Amino acid sequence: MSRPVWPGLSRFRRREAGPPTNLGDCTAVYNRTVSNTIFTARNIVTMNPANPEATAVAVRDGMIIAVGSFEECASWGEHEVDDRFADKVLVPGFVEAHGHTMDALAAMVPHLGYYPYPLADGTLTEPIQSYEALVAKLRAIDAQLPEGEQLLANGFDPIFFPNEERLDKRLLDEVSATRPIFIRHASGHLATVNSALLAAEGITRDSVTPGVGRDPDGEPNGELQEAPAMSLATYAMGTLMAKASGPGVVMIHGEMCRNAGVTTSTELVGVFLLMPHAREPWEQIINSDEFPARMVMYNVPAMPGSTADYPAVAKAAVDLRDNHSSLKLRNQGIKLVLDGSIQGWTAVMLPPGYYTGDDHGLLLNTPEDLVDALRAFHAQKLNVHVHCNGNGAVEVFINAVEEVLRADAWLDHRHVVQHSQTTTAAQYRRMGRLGLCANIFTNHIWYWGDQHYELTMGPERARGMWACRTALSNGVALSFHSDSGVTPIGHLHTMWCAVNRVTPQGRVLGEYEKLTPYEALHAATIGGAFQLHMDHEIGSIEAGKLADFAVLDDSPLDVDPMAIRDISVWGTVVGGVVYEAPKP
Amino acid sequence: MTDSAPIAVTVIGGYLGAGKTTLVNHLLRVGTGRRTTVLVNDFGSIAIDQDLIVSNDGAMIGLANGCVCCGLSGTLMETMSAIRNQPDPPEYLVIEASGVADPGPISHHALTPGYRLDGVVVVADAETVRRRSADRVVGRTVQRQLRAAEVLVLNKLDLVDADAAHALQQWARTMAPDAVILDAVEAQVPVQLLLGVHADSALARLPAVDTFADESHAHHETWSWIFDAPIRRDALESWIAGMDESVVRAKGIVWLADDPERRYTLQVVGRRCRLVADRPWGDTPRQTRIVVIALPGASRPSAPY
Repeated sequence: MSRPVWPGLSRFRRREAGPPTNLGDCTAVYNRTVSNTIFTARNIVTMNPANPEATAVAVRDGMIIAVGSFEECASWGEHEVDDRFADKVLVPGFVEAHGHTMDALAAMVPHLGYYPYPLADGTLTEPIQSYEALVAKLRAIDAQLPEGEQLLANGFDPIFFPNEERLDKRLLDEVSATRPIFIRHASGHLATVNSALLAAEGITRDSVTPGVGRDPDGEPNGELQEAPAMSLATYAMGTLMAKASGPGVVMIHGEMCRNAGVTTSTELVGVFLLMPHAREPWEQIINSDEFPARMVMYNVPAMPGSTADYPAVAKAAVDLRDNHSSLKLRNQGIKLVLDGSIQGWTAVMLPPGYYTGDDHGLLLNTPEDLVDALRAFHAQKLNVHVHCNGNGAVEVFINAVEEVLRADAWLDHRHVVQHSQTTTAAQYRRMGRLGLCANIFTNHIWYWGDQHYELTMGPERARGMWACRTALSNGVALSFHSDSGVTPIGHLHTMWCAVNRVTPQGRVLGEYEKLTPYEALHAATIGGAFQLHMDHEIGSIEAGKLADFAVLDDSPLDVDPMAIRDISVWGTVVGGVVYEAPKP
Repeated sequence: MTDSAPIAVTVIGGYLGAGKTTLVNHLLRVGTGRRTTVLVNDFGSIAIDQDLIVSNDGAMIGLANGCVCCGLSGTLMETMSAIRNQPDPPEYLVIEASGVADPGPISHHALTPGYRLDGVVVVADAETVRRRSADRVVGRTVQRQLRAAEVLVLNKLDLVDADAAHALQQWARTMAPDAVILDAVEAQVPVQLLLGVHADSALARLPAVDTFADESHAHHETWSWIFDAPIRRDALESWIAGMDESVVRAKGIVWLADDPERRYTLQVVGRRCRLVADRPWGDTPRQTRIVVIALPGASRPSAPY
């Protein structure tokens, strides 16, 4: 197999020459301009070290043709000037190399997160930081719902309420004694329901399903733990699953990307291999002019925790990549999930394991099976991203890469350790030598940093988590991510975390792993593009690349580092098309 | 949900390479005598003689013996919900877990409405299971699998010598204290011990003879009892607890003294006993009917009272 050097653009040129291609509607976007457009800006941070700053960028048919002064750009011929960004700063469009479209659920189902979640319309959800606030919000929702409809909500996280009694049916019964209420926790592994829901679904003291939480007297207390018990709430689970898997989530995700300055995002649990019929509805939405971002799919070969005929899946994935990709929707590689989460105590940790709590480490593929899978995909030059939160899972992945490389020397694989939260220095040394990349979940420093310090990892290892500096020192290509849906999409926040490493309680976790703002911006743009094998097309502002920009009020390289996450995002430019974020 | 009998679920687990797929292929070939759906972990690994196959659409294989075999394309929760809502649901569901799965939590799906748990079968590779259970990454996974077993199949015993086999059996007893341990080569285990299907048919025929017509399984001992008076819960429990280790399975319908208006179903696999409230007796005759299956040569257990 040979990867086309310019897969998107070469198709585009064929389109210009005559017959239409499978690009569909999206070609219209790139054919619209008759002359060059020159965008001027207060400052353009290019992330091209040979030409680091500019004040103008010339775009033709969605591609950058020149970057520099206005005069330099004007010398490329007939042009129109677009000066609406004259007082703004352009940086390369942010690249989210580990996103999920399920973040749209925050807009589709009431969100009960401890921190505010930014929605597609530019507003923020109200943070739920006390049980009083929880009850008040649920009552407000209850008052607006038609009679007979269940109240479904999402995103509650008990880890932030260590001093409260465990949430159960009693508190929810205060909201309504008659309307069934179902609250899915942020982890997705638990739900809390009220007495009306227990009654409506026939969940009683006689229910034999494990995971039905009980009071000392044997009556269900409203907590439903894990999938079998959660499935007893048939209406709520069916409704949530239908919402999360419909194509409607994609557009909302795209709008959230636009609001955050993200021009290329990813779906890291792509289902096009498992459910081929899901592809066309997504293509229609993403390839339309209205969709404000590029999407890159990393498709799973099997449901996490099960196995597949990997050589056959690899062939299907190559077909998706080579024959069913467009400029805006790529099927770029394969995603595997190797363990669980640290704050759920299901990540696979090497000794000494967890600081407090019981180790529920869950390895989702055997090491032998991972080698089989990786060998099949690597042989087809498919880029593989593997979810590894615990350093035990990281170890299994590194071993598999080493094993596969001994027989098959594709050195530019750029396989990625995703999350890479607890990867050790020794592991980064091996990753550097084996060509593995790290996409580090830096947002955890803010969202769960104090919990990792106090509960899961303890002080020493919490300071060494998200080891960005160690990764760079060992030559490991680096990016950050939001795991959108788990934390809000947006690289100004992931960068702020990597630069400042501050927790809500004011701790600095890992002074010596801090990055400079430049290094952080690199990871959030060209660094992400590299891990998607797209750094020749996106990730920096230079001639020959796609015209993808984030439009900001200020440069993250110039503001006080603690203010990076507060920089306002005006919107984006994707392939030369301007998408303005709504101002709440 | 309909009033039809719940679908009996057997979970087959064990580490990669232990012989789960061999066992599933064996099961598919032999059949269960009942309409059975088998959810396999890797659809591509199913190896069945062509002349047994009556349909194959690439996602589902139908066999002449009434088994249907398919893979998992969504979550287990979604798949089991779809199976339960079929117009003609199967009587048995066999779930082949993946090589790293803990069969315990998977079996919890069988304790939801419309299903009942028939048993958890774990296959272990006699050559490698001890080493794997001490591995620093996968050791905990293997230990959890063994602990979840109700029937533990020590497979590939032909690959170890007699001393090693004896030591392994002792070790397995400590790792899976609740399980019946069966020796096997190429995962050849009588299907009646895996699924308890024959115990079902024996129950339906009660009062019945003490042997099964199926010659290949005739060497396993089976006995049955009928009681026309309600039985005390503690008497039943202590009777089961006192059964010989050679008892592999017991099942039945129970008329309990402390809850006489409802039927209870009894399930014993290995040393684990499940006594679950069922529907009211209604007009059906109230009586306790129990079938016990034991390894060849076992002696008849005494009656509970």
